[in-house]
Amino acid sequence: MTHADGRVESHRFPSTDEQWPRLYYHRHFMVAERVNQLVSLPAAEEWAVELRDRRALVDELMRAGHGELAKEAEQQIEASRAGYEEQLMLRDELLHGIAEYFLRYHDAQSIKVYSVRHPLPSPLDVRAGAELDDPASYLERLVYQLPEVQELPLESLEEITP
Amino acid sequence: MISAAWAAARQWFVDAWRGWEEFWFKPSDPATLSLIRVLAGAMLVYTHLLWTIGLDRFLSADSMLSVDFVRHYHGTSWAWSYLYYVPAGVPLWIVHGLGLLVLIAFWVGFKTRVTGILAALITIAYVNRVPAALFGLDQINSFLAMYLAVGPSGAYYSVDRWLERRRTGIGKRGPLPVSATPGATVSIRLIQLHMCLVYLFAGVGKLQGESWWNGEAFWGAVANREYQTLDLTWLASYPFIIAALTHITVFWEVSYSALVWFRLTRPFIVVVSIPLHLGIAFGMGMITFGLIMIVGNMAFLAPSVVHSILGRFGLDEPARET
Repeated sequence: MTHADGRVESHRFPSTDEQWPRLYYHRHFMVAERVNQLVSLPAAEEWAVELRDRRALVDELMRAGHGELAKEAEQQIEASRAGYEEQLMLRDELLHGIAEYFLRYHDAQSIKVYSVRHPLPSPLDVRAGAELDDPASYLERLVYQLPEVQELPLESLEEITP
Repeated sequence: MISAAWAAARQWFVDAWRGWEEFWFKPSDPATLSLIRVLAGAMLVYTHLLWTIGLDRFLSADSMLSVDFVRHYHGTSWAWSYLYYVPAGVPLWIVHGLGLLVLIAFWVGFKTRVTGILAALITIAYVNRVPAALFGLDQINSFLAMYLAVGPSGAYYSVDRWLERRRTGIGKRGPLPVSATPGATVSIRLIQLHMCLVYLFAGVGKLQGESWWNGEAFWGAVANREYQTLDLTWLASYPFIIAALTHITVFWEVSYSALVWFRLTRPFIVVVSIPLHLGIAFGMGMITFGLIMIVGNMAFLAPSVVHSILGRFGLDEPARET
């Protein structure tokens, strides 16, 4: 977050330092999990390709004379498209709610919300000396910001520094 | 021969109906139900007390989970909550405070028939308001609250009973009969069946994941830094233990809904729930979830066992069922 005086501060949730007791921490954990699910949706271009491929299948079925199957496939495409758009709306509403709340809570001027992914190390990694909280194992991605900008670089990945 | 077959079939239906009636409606001592009320009631109070810290962040009209988001998330108008309509600030504090008072009243067993229903409604209203912040604890809290409201969960270990003793002039240790009731049976059976469904769906859901088949799943709990409260990473050197714990977990969950009903296997199934859920509680930091699952398993304790255990600590009441 950036304040009016130029000061920049950073917070994370869930965080055992900032959220206590454990149940309160876990509430934030679940919201973070939900954010992760929603920002893991296919990107618009990827989704467009998938829709195009599925529509090509529908065309193929029609040409082969399988009208009923083609109709069923078309309905499934429509349901998937509606589901995807609904998930996008939920994603945007959730991220907007989080950003707006913390902007107000910290009395800041602007805020960037990052989703942090933390893949689990395997037993072999741990036996080789890997630490569970190794900073290099955290993958950070900008997912929302206020004030809003036109284009959001959702593809960028940056390593977080502790 | 046909009449014999018909008589046999008819008898089968008669026996099945009798079994159904006995399963659901045979009057039973509400001691188990009352104990669950005390323990689950305490968890309800704690869960909602914690919301006090996050009242503005999670529950207010200005929270990070906006009412619009929540309504879209549910996708149905059936996910009702009075919290949608309470303005932020003082009104929310008042409504929240009143809710806590009702939950405390239910926990201690005051006007249990009324506070039980209100407690169930309050629990459901809160979980509907914050869907993105929920986990297993809330699901168990919700159905326990609902089923405790069905039966006489304030019959024992309650302020209601203490008041009844005062009203009848019978002292603390005097006999005060408690009726065995079908309501207690219905409540307990609902809890038992729901616990079976929880474990069955959890177990079958796990079987859809490859890591539960190849024995690696337990490592997922160990290696998750954000869940971890006990450092069990030393298990990386003992893959056999990881595999054994993985397979025991899924076997226990999948078989629970069958084996818990037989007298021979029930004690084993219920006892295994204790280390399993304590492991979740203290190894993964989900203390509330681990404990409430153990409370749910107590639905399989016979009332006589409850009396016996509490009696050893001087906590039981002298009266028995009539």
